Amino acid sequence: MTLDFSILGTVWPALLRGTTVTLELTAAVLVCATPGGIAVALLRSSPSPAVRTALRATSAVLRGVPPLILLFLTFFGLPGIGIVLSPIPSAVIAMALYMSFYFGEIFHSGLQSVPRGQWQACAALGLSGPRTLFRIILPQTIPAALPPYISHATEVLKGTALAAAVAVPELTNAAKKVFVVTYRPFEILIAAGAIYALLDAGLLLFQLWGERWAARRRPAR
Amino acid sequence: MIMSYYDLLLQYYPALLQGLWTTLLLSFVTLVLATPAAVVIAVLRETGSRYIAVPLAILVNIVRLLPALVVLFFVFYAMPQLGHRLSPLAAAFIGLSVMGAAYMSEDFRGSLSAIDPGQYRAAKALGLSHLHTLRRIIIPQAVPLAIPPYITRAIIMVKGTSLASMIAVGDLTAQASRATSITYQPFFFIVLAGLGYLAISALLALFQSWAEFSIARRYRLAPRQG
Amino acid sequence: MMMGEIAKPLPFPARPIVVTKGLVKNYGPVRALDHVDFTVATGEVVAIVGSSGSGKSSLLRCLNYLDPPDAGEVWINEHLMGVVETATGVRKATEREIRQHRADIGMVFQHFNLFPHFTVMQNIIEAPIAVRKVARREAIEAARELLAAVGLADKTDAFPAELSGGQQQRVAIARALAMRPRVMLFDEPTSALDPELVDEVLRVMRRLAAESMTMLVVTHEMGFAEDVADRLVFFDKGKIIEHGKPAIVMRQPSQARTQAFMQRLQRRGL
Repeated sequence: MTLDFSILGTVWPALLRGTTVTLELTAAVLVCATPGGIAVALLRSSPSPAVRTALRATSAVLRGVPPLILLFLTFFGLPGIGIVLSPIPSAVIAMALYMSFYFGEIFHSGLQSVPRGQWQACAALGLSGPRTLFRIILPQTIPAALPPYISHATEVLKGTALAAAVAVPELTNAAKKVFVVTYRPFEILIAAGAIYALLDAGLLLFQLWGERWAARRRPAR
Repeated sequence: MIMSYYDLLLQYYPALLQGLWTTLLLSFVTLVLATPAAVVIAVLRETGSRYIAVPLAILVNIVRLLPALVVLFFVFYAMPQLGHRLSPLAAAFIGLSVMGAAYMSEDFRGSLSAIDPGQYRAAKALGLSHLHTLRRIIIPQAVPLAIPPYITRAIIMVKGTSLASMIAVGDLTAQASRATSITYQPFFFIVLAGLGYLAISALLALFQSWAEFSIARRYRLAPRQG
Repeated sequence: MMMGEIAKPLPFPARPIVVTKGLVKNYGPVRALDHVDFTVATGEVVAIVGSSGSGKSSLLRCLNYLDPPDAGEVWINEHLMGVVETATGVRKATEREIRQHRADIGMVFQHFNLFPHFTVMQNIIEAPIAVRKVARREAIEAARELLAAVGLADKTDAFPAELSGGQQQRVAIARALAMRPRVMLFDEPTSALDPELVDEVLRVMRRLAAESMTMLVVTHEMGFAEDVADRLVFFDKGKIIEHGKPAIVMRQPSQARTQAFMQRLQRRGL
């Protein structure tokens, strides 16, 4: 069968709609998982051993099972305890939960990367706890955390493709619907792949910029 | 509930076991295919000529920008369009191996680049050939470094096999969701499947701890100089 | 002394073993070697000094074609590096041929670069067996002799990580000598060593010099240069500014830049 990319001229609106949903999903997951990650990072330093163990156990479980299973769990499983969610929210919740722990790891390392001396200097200067945290310590975690954060953001973007499994009309789903009808999976999937590649590449460029920004603000030797 | 959990288990455990077996098969084959490919790619990219390294770099990076599901769909749905019809299992093997090899080669590159460049220089100054240097000097030092990230990657690849359920492969996820849709049991089968994957991941993680421990004992790397 | 040119006759009646003509090496926009002409006679010990970035290390790496020069000629033992003579003329040498020629030149690095997963013995015999095709038994015998000569006869089965810096560098010297080179290149051999470990390495190098090995030593150790070197060469910005007997170059240099450099060294008590 010969290839005919002109089909894209007709179907691009559908792909565009799918891309929009993909971007919305990514944004939604990031918006939920970022504070989630901060919470996880802070809980990791909790004085209570019970909290820390619970956190480690949850982390192990969430990272030991495929994301698809988690997705099915939220979509098919939650109705069993009375929570019925439509596809999009369940996809967002499943992914946000999953990513919170990865982000938590990143933020935790970011926190660790701040030299002990910073805390000591703040104490010596008489700065209060919250002031120390928010004005001095947390801003210093950003340069360390930013590059891995952005690279995980690309994982989120790629992860949204899984939502196709629960009929969320994101890009992969849209592509499938289109090529099933047009019998041109090759051209359509190349187009969908190209869109993902471009979006991810954009994020990576942003990451390169972020790394340069971060390099100047590293802890001084 | 019409049937108790026990009865459900009795009725569906063959299917679930079949799914588990398929998952293990997928994991094993993709690891076996991806690992040598990744080694070759990593070595060629780090030490090969520019004419080989750059095209490889482009290929690897394009694959890493794509969602695994898109790659799988491509192999399963799009290749027939070019005349290569593949069974779901074969498509899964190919798609997952390609993705695995791309990511794994990056892991291996990291281990290779952790080797002090002075090692290459000393070998070169002594007159050792490039191949000899790689075989006797570089790779033996890179292997202990590469094992922890390798096992992490293996765990990720095992989880990745669940995507095969989306192209009609009867793996653990597929069997679990099939059983769920037949019996309308929301949690049971999905949790079982989850436990199955968890067991595999946990075993691999244990193996990783053991490997890291025995490596730390025999750790003899050249300290990285400036 | 003219810049970059060898104006006076060689201090030895022996023939030149290392000759460079118009050597140029660029690293991006930086010119590390600027048309360097340089000759070393057989058995001569030459100390090369200069500030960082002056081109000294680049010179060594060009000599054994570790980093081929961008322009100019390198003659080792009357053989032009990088080319091969055929019945019909000359052609560019293959990597394998360059490697064979490189075997005549030994190199000792600032950071030793020993193979950490090999024992001392394995480090020393690897290249003779692989490159010069020496039989294993012979290689081991020769290695034992070399280790004894550098004072480490009891360390044959030790791993580099178990040795001090000075010991590692002595092993590195033995490893280079195992290839029976005609010329030994030393790239700041003691710069990475703790002060109290420097002497043991210098002692080995003095012995080598006494045994008439041709040596080019990039170093900051002015004491060694004055005592052992037949000639001191001062490098700056990719050119040889001045060269001659160490005592003279160090205390009565004829060039202003040399004088400034030597004064800086003296102020730091070197």
